[in-house]
Amino acid sequence: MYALLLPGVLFVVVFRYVPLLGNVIAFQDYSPYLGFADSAWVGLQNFADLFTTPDVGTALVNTLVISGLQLVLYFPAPIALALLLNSLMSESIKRAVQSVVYLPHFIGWVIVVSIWQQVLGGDGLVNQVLRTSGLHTVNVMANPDFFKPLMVLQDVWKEVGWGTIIFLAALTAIDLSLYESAAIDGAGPWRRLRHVSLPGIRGVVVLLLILRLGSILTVGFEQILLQEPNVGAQAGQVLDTFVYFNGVVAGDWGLSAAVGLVKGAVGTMLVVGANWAVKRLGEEGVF
Amino acid sequence: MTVELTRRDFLQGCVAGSGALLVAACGGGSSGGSAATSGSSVALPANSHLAPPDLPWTDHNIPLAYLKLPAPFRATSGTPGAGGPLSEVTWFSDLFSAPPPPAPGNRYWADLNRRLGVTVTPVWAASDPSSFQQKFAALLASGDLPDLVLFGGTVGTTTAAAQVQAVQQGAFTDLTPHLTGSALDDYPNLALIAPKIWQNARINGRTYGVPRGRTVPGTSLLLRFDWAQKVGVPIAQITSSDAFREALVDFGSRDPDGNGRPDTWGIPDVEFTYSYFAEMFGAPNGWRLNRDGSLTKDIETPEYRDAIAFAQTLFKQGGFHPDAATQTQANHYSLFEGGRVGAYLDALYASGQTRPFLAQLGFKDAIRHLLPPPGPGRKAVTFNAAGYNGMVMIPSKVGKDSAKVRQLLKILDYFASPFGSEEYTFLNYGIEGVHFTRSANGNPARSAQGTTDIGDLFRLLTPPNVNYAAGSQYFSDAEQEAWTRLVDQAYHDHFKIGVDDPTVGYVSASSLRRGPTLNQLVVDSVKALVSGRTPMSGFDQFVQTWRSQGGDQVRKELQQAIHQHR
Repeated sequence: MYALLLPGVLFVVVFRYVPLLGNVIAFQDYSPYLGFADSAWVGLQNFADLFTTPDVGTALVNTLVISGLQLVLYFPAPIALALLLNSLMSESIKRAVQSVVYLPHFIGWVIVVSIWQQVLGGDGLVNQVLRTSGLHTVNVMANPDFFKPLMVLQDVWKEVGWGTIIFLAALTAIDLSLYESAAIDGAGPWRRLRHVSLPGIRGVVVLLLILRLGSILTVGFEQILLQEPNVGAQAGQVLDTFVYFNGVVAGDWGLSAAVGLVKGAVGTMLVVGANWAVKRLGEEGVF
Repeated sequence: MTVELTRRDFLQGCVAGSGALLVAACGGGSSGGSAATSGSSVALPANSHLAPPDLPWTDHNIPLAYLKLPAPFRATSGTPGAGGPLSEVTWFSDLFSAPPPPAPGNRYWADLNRRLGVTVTPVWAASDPSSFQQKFAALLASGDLPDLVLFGGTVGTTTAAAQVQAVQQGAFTDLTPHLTGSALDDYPNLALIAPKIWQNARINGRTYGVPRGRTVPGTSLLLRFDWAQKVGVPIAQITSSDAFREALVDFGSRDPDGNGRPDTWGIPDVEFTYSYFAEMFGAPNGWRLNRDGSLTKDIETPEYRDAIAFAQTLFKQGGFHPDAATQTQANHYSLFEGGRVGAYLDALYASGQTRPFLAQLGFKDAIRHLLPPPGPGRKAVTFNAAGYNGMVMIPSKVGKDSAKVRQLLKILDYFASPFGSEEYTFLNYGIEGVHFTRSANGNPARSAQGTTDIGDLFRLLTPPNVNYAAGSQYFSDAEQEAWTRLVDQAYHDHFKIGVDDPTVGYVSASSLRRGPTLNQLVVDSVKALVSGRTPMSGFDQFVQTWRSQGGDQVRKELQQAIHQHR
């Protein structure tokens, strides 16, 4: 019977655990030609460089700001939308709205970015209208000050519908009789929301929040890779694009692996820490 | 779309057609052209064969110009790969289109194998630098490199850092003894590559690869002649930076396309055009090598600073497209071709891509190459290019056997067969009747079958560009001649004031490690300065950042490298 587990376990070991050994290059001046065995061992030098290389600092700050904005703007958005959808009486309207808001999830980033560029770019729809009417033009896409909120807005636009799925599932799991009793006791819509709906999905919200914290140092790689050149590395570079440019493209594998390793370690600590914290607060947590 | 239209083809240098020869029975001997021609004052190795150019050829660094299809000739003798130790040759190179179907179904590929005397098996990677380097790293890490490996880009550019590193660690064969001096005589077609290009393709003084030749004269600005006329600043009057700025600003404000809408601009983008401003003000080409052997980075010179200030004013006055700071390179040409911008910078050898557009505009006087108009009190220059795009290297594992090296170089020599040769026609156009047909004046044009079967197989190594327009279906005979002469003149004019980058071909530990980041810093800062996001007062801060973030270290090491390997 346990033999059936084997393929799954094998998969995880071969494709998840064995590659972890590759992290050894974070302690080497790794060269693909020399390989793991012959590359010079530099100990913690890459980690020391990590703190002295100014680009890493910039990338870290950018990542944290975008992540923070995501937590504030992007994380609650699907919850709000799910609550809204849940309150709709007509099944057919609800389904229609759901289908429409799911759609952007299936559009690739390249296309999403092009659409935004066509609408908000310097030569985009909005500015064309402004220009023909002789008004001042605003190039939102190339302004470093707008870059970070813009990334989050794009995230919201693309993923908010998809994100509602799990919350809608949680909402349907709430016993309808709770709403009925609340209504009979004289609770209006707001109080039903506050005292029935929200507590009903609290478990799921906390679960997702913890998982989200784990990836706090990871923000949309493809999305930012495409748009970073618009505003420059100073405003746009995040840890993932740094690793890509510095490691994969420029061949500084050691430093890049060190950044990746630190990222993973911080993520793990945050998940474990948050899990511990919510357990202290009486929630269930993830594990 | 016909084959001729694509930008890629121009970039790759298969600018034109070739010999009106049915695959003739040349019994191994060569017929036709020889290097010693009346119009040529360039000394070439005695055993090299070249179709005699139609316009005087006065400098090895300026492409040969042809007004009509030359008589076909053989550029190689025998079968290059026959009798060598390798019966199968694998190679790693870049892919610009869908991979061709495999032999034997693909008659081009099958015939290529037959002609080379070996079976060729390419390993491809997408041609953009990121994908290419990624695939290269994977191949390198696997420890199993193909017999021939393309080095992407040029030595010293930031995109090739990982490959230079591999070379320095000994992954590739030092080909210096095979490819310098009289040893090069064994490869008559490789000997046709200009000495300057060979020199630029060295890595710290040693030759590791055969350069995929382009041209030394670098970029040129194409300007809409008709627009300039219309806004009242004719091109002949654009001889100063002020007149140039006036024309560009007027392109935006005076509706040169006459459609009544404010939808035209001067310059399409910042990133791919700003070198032109530096040229106008006589800034160094990347670096300046001073008499005492020290290096000055371009951004540290007053010329460069003036150029940026000029561009900033131009931007403020509306001379740039509004998306200038975010434009992609591909978009940059489509804006020009779409009639949205009036200026466009590209490699001189790529200016042939504008032919369909020229034809659409009614060829005469529609577009002109504009030499950089000098800034006040400055002497304009042009920046010479390295003259190649990639080079083909041989891994050390393969290179241990010098018989293999010679066999592989013979095969590369075949690929480098010059324009007009029977080999060139086959490589670029395939088999007549299957892959291409000939027009009335004998110029070959690929069929759809040809495009599919040939794919990028011939692009492993291509000979340096020639200046030839007669293959175009867009021009009349008189027009093609006028155009070829125009381009020839532009090559001469640009090369005459051309300056080299003294650091091409030299690398150091920190130029590799910090190069990409520093380069990014320059691009980002220039965009910010030109678009006015950063005022000119921030210029010194930018130079300071560049110096402290590794620029000074790079300078020190490059100085050393040049001193040591020159």
